[in-house]
Order: sequence, then structure tokens, then C-alpha cells
Amino acid sequence: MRSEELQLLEQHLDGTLAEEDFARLEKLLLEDGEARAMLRTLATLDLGLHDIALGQQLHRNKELVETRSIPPRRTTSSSFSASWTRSLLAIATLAIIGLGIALWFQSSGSSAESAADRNIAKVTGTGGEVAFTGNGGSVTTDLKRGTLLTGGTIEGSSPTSWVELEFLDGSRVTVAGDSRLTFSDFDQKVLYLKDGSVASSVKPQNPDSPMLVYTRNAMLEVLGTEFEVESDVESTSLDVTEGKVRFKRLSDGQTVEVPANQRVQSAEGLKLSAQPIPDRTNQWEINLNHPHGMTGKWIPSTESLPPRLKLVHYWHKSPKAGSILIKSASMPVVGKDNQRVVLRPGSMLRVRGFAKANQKTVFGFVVRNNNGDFGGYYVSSKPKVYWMDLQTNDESRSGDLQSFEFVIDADDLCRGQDLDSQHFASTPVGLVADTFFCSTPPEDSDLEITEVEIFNQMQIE
Amino acid sequence: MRLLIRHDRAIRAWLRASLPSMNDVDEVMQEVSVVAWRKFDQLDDPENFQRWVSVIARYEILMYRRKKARDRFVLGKEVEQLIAEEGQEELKLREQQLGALEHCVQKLPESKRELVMEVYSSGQPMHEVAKQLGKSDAALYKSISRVRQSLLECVKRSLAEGAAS
Repeated sequence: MRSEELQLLEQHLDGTLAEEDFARLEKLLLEDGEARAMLRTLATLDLGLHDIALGQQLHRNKELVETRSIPPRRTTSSSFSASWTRSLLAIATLAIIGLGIALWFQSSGSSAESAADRNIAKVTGTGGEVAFTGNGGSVTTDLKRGTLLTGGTIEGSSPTSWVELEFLDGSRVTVAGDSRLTFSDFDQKVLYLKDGSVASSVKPQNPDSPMLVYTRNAMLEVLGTEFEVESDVESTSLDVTEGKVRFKRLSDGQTVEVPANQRVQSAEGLKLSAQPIPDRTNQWEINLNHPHGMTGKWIPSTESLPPRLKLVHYWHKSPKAGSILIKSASMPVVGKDNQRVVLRPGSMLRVRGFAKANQKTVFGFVVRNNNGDFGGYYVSSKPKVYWMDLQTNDESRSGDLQSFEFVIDADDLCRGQDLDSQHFASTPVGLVADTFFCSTPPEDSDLEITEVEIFNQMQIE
Repeated sequence: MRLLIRHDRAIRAWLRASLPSMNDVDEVMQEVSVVAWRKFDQLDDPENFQRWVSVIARYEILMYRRKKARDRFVLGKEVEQLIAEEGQEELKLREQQLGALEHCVQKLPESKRELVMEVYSSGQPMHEVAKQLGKSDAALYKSISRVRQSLLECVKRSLAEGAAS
């Protein structure tokens, strides 16, 4: 096999292949059985090296914990080396699931302090402004893919914040938007969702120690399934995509089993029962008379003006400029009967409100994949704008604020700058709109939103 | 669960050839684990587990491919089918290669072993690692490629020696 062909295969696996070389790679793989066999061997090498490196990293973390809990004389270089080799071979023989189990059993006898220091999860994806408060109260905002975490609290601080965590057994949890989640995994996984939403895909758990998810008003028992939970001060909403989750309302102790494709809501006064997740819709409009779940400053209606949502300050992590201050407001996208709202071909976003002329503004959606996972965020940064017009007319507000209407095809929204093309689709069409948001630079911005809707393009033609 | 753990690495290695990244492998393997767990009572003979779970994995690759079809760098259906079908017959070879790899990594000179572990444990793109190591992208690619070549040779040699003995 020629060296340039080998290089193509390596670049493909490394994710460094240039777009113009992709067709050449496909042709090679289609026509040459030897190249396909080499790709499989290189893929095996790639996976094996990842596993060995992960095993070594976990082993080092464990060594650090042990170094703190045993007398220093026991950590001589020879015992370190022998122990390293034995453990490495043992760990490398097991897969990720095995790694988690092995590490758990190895560390179950250590002190409470070392258990608290133990890394229990890895960041597998993140974006936007996210803070992690770990053991001992240390705070970091510098989370990256591959960062190992002890138990602690993850806090997203803007609508486009997100972080995906993977526990040692492969269970995944995605925290998105303005959410706060505390997690631990001593002898069982326990999550506390203070606010916001979490999507989870949980590997089969020991029936004696199911994963527990607490919100302000409910408790969920999870044995291995996919689900999405949203919580605020008043209610908790659970959608189960796969498997089954036991849902307990804390105020009266009532429980209900929620199977796949069903939903339950825990608001007080409502009968607690699992209902089929309603059919999806492609239409949505906000009702600003009931500003439930919105972020921003809500202004009630007056004699001459409708209720408005004003933008407030947020920190935003920009891939180019780092943490910057912006003004932003957001609102959940939920259909009339609590339906999920899908962006379909022809879906249009219309926003109305008051703004200054030439106000730099970004509108967008945070979306979810169809299984509830975080699907990225998409913005109107370089769109083909169908119609954007700041009008001076009778509806002019005080000062220099004027009414505006902004319309854009959902297919013209662009993927967030910090989202990679391998994991996030190039367009939000086909995905579920989760949150609408609007952002502006912090200075000199008084934008107010009065109406937002998603409608089908056919309706205006 | 024990059966899945025993065969997990060979299946993941097979998946890796069909999927663009390790994250994709983890995602598909997660689906495979859940489906295998749920349908375990349909497995007639534990001896057939590898074959049985590879059929589940084939289906999950297809589903994943459908989901990601619009992404760049997703191999065409025909190519992906060839890679997966041929690979389905090589799970035993994957296990042997992974076993040999562990020994071969130990035989690497320390500096090379550290470099390769640094790259593979970082979870970051190569160009980011290059930046952190103060190397140019090209220099790091070249170094890693050389280490891979020597590991490939070593794995081949180990399997050939194993077969001869």
C-alpha cells in the first residue's frame, strides 16, 4: 500500500482529512479491499490506543487518590511501576463499562475523603459559558472535551450553554441552557436538577442502586433508559424515550411508572399520570401574558403596549473572544398542547418587538435531537434574510425605539460557531426547537420582544 | 453484561472503522448495549453472542448513518457496507490485534509512548495537542504516524509469531 494512501486512511481516522481528499478516500475504499482491511486495522489501533491512554489516565488519578490515603513509604518507584503495569494490563483488557466497574470495586474500600476526590465523569462535549464547582468548592469555567470531573455542580449561564458528561459506565447526561445540575456517583448515581433541563441516556444500572434524579418537586428512579427532564420551581416534566422511569411526586408521595414515549408532569393540583407524548407540531407562538420559563426582564402590558420581554446581561463564551458580556433573553418553545415543535422544511421564524435602528441582533434556536439529546444551536448570523425592517411608524415607542419585524427561513439559520460539523447538523431543520433566544451586544441595547412565532412558509405565500 | 464486557472491545474496534470518531463509536456502542440488554432473552445460545450482538451493531450503524447522512466525512453507503460486512467476519482478529497492541505499546521507547498517550488521552483535536506541546501540526502528525507504523509492524509480527508457535 502506498504511503499517500496510508496517510489518507490515517487522516480519515484522525479527523484531519481535507474536504477535497474525501472523494479520493471513498474511491480508494470502494475499489481496494487491501485499503479497507488496512482501515480496519488502523481503526483497531486507534481504539486500542484510546483505551490504553484512558486506562493510564484513570490509573494516574487513582494513584493520586491512593497517595493521599496511604503512607508515603509505600509509593516507591518500583512498587509504582509494578502496580502500574499490572493495573494497565487489567484495565486495558476491559472496556469502558469494565473500567468503571473495576475502578469502583478497587476504590470502594478507600476513605470517604478519597471517594469524594475520585473522578467520576468525563466531559465529552461542551460549549458556551459553563461553570463547574467541584469537590472542595473549586470553580472552573475552563471545561474541555476530555476534562475529568469529581462530583459537583454544573451550571450553564446562557441559553446556548451546554455540557455533556459521561460517567465511567458510559451513561451520559447533557445539561443545556440556563440549568443547574449537581451530580455524584459514590455507590449510585444521584443527580439534583435545581433548574433547567437534562437529557440522559443511562446504561443499565444495578437494580439495587438505580440512578436517582431529584428535582425541587419530584424524584426519578432510573435503571437504564433514555429520558429528558425539565424542572422549575413549580413543576417537573419528564419525557421517556426508551425504557421505563419511576416518577415520584414529593409533595404527596404519589408514584407513577412512565414507559417509553410517555410523559408525566408533576405540577401540584394535576392528577399524576403518564400520558402519551403528544404528536409533534410545526407551529408555535409565545404568549407573553404568561412568561413561564422565560429568561429576561418581563414587562406587563400597559394601556397602549402589549407585554414585552426585555434583554438582560449574560456572560457568553465566544470561540474567538473568550468570555464576553452580552444581552440576551430566551423562552422555551412548546406547542399548544405541550407538543414538541419540529422545524420542518419551509418553517419560518418571525420576531416582532421594539429596537433601535441598526441594532446588531442575533436570533436563534437551541435544538434537540429527536431522542432529546442536545442538538446544538443555530443563529441568524449570516442569513439570507427574507425581510428585516426597522420601521418608523405610529407604533414608535418612547425615545428612539421603533417597532420591527424580522423573518427568516429556519434553513437559513447557521450552526453555532463553536459547534463542530461532525456532531452537529448543518441546519436545524428536522430537529426539535427547544429554546428561542435573542442576543445583542451589551452596550446601547434596549431591544424588547413582543411576539415570536414559528409558522410554515406556505401560509404567507 | 459479562458477555458484553468480554466482547466489547472487538465490537468497538469494528465499529470504529465504520464511524468517523471515537465519540460516534461510544454513541453507537451505547445504543448497542441498551438494545442487547433489552433483547437478551432472544439470544438462544451464549456461544453465539458475538455474532448476535454484531447484527444489532450493524443495524445501529445503519441508523446512525441515516441520522448523520448530511454531515461531511460520512462514508457512502456502499463503502460503509463493504467495511462493515468484511469486518463482521474479523472480530476474532480484532481481539488478537488489541491484545498484541498492549504488549507493543509497552515495548515503545518511553518518549514515544508518552507522546502517543498524550495525544490519545487528551480528547482534543491533533492541532490543539500540537499547540500545547509546542510542535507544528505537521511535525506532530509525522511523529504519531511513525509511532503507528512501528506499532503496526509490531502487532503484525506478534500475531505471526503467535500463529507459528
